[in-house]
Amino acid sequence: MKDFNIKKKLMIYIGSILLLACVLFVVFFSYFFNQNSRIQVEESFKNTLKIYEKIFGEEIEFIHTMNTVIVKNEELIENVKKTDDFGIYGKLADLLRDLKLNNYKTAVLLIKAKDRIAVIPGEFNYTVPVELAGNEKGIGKFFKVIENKLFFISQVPSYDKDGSHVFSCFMFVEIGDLFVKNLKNKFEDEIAVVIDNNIITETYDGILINSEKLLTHSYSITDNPLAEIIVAKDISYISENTRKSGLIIIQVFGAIFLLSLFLANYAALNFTRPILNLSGCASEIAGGNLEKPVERECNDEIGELAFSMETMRSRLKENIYNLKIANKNLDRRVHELSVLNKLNNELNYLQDYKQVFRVILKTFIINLNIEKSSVMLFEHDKLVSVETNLKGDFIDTVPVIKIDKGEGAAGKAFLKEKPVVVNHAEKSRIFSRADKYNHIRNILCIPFSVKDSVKGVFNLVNIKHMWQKKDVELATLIINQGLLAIDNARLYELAITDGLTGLYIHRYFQIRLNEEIMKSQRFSKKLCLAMIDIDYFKKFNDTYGHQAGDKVLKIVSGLIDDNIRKGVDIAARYGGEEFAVIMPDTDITGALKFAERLREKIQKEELFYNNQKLSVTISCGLSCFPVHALDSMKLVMTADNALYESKENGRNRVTVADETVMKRG
Amino acid sequence: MNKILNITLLLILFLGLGCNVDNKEIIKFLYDSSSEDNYFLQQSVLKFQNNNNVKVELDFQSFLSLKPYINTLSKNDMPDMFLGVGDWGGELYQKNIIKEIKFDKFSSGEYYRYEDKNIGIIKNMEYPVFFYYEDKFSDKDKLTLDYIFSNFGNNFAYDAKNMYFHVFLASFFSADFLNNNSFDFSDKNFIKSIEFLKKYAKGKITDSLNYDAVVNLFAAKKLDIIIDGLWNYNRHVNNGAKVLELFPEKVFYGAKVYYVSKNTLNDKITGDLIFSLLEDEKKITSVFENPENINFYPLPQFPEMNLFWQKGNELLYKALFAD
Repeated sequence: MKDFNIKKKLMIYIGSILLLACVLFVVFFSYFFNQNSRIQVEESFKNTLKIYEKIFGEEIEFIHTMNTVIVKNEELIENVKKTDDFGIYGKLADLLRDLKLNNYKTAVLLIKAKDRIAVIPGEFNYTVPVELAGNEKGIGKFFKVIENKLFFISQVPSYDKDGSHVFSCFMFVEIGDLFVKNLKNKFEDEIAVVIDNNIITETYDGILINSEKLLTHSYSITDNPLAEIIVAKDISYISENTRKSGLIIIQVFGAIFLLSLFLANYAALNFTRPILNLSGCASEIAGGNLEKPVERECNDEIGELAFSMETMRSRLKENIYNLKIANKNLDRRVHELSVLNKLNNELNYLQDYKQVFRVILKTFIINLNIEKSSVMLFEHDKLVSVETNLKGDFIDTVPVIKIDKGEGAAGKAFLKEKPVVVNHAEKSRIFSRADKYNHIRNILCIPFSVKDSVKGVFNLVNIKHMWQKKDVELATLIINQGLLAIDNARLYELAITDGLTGLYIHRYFQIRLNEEIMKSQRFSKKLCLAMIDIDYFKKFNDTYGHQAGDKVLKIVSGLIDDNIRKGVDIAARYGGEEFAVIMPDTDITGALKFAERLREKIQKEELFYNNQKLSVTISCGLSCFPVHALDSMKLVMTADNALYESKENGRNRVTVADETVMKRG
Repeated sequence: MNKILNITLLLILFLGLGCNVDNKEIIKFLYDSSSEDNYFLQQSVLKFQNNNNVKVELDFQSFLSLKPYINTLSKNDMPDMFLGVGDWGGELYQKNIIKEIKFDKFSSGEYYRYEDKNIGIIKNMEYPVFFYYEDKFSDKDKLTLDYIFSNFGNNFAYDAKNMYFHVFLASFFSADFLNNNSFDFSDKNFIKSIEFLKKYAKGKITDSLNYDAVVNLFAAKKLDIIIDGLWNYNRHVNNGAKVLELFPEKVFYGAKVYYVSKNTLNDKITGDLIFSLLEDEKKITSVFENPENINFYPLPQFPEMNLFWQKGNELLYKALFAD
């Protein structure tokens, strides 16, 4: 029951009440029907008894009357007077037949002075009861039990014309089978004759006395022995009628109950529909569907509830909409931050602003889903294209695009120092319609500044749809972040490079050497370190002055920088005229080739100072991790020792550290 | 909820349609007999019903009304079997009311025949005999036909106006007056029998003497000897009388016969019921054993038989009472 919905519950409640009502109806109806039936039966039985008394009385009176007819028959009287037996018996037979007394079990006794004149039937041997025989001339009607048979006896005397008594006719009619059968023919109900509580005859097929199917009433006919006539009414039809009526009642009850169920269902449906609708709407709202409005079907409390729920739904929908907008903005912001974060990761340690430009352009391509991006720098009163990325690849623009300030979208952006958006390039008056720009459908041009001075313009070309504010904001964010990196790269470079030679300073060298040794150790790679010293550098300074020395340092450092692997090897000014080159993933053979090649190039380099040719050579010491040392300090030391060996052995040479050196170290 | 509805409907259907189906076969039995026989019959029928899956519906008609009643019945209302008088058999068979029968339980002598066909089962043969009180006659060998009739109106009487009894008397004269398809009252032996009756009875009895009177006079022992039908055998025997062994060589008999309706669908059960009724009757009632030296002939069943009875009765009346 607790799992049923409200409609079913209501239906069960209403159905139960209706069922109860129906049951009460059936009970009361049955009770009244039963009572009514009983009253009807009792009334009917009273009528039965009245009819019986009337018919029985008439039968008895008929027999007695017929007896009076017999005794007045002159022919019979004459025959008796003549003692003509044939005539007496013949006439009696005729009379009994004619008077229809044969319909009863009738015996006739003609008696005179106690002598039997005639008896019909002939074998009838009962004598006239004493009380009647003594009064031979009397008239009477009596009931008598003789030999366990109940008789009605009619006594009528016969007189001749002269008034003399001729005979008396005693008519014995047995109140037995034939009599009750005749009675039954005139009387629908049942009759029995009982003598001393024994049923002598009965019209009922079953056992009449004590039958539950019968209502009975007894009439005492004689006292001793007690003879009774029992009149009975078969009331089995009542129980049959009651059964049929009960059946009809049950069928009607069933029909009413079914109808009631349907009505209950209908009522429950109508009553609970608004609630069920509300429940359905609430489920929809709970399930997240806020589109379906809550309809107000009525003006009662449920209608009020529906109205409140509808208000709640509307507000919830509005709030969720706002939330979605906010969420969308947040997503965009997160996306922007993610883009900036990636950008930052890529911009870290970039020391070249051109690399920064490339990263920015590639970020545009990936995150703004555009076809092409480029950057233009303002040089010599022109905006000059310096980097271009087409669908992820950097391309050279030949010839280099140069435009004036205020020319086209980029020129206008530069001039106004504001972003310029062209969504329909083919229709734009701002956009330059040169053939070379035919491929451009839309463009966003954003100027950028370094140290409060506008330095150039970023061009973002052919976004998939249209340029929107969010795109401009994201692009601006990327550019600003990139500009910071450009700034940072410039400062960093200033911090870790030697001002004279442009190579890394000693401190940076130490940091990187430690990092590279750790990398080599992790990946089981070899790493070589070359320590380089300019031979007789002090002599240059002393002979030609410090400017000449600085020039030598610049040339040698330039040659070192030219010969190392870009982005792989790290060259640093170790101090004075001493340089160091870290060669990751390089064994001693490779390092030796590099060092020899460098030494030869420097030796062959023609150096002039004040029109004097200067001869410059270098000495170099090589050590290898992990062959010669397992940490940075020892590696430097072994390389330094090898350098010392080169110096010792005549300079302008390369010496590889060996075990000896190790030991000496 | 549907379950509740279904159960309710089933309950209603169960209660609504619940009724007893009685698949017993029904035999309709139309009967002609007295009330005493009815009692016997009802008991016997009840016994048969109890022993068989049959319901016997009894219907009673008086002797006189039974045949007309049958003639009024439609085919559908026709009983399966009925008890009637033997001399109706031919008419009923010709009218397709009854049919030829053959039951395993009965011998050929038990069938009532018409034109060599078994058309019924004989309940009992009926023909007149002399009933007498033996103690009233010291020498019963003296009881010849002449001797008996010489006392007509004294200690002997019978319903002499009744042609049925005269057929019996005529048989003593070997009268050849009644054939299968005709009668001949001019037969000399028949005339002899009439003259015989006239000789002894005329003036001895009054017009008012009737059959009932004779029977009652005999029962009251005011007569010593009478002629009566065997249908009263039990009454007379119970009253102390006997059948006088005085029979003609040839006796026409009537009979009570069980007939089977042409429309019955219950041949076997009907035969079983008849057999059962006859068996019970033998146990309960006294039965006169037919003498072996007599030739029995069923009363003919031709259309003029009514005329035979009518003309014969007139003839007798004239012989007895006319001048």
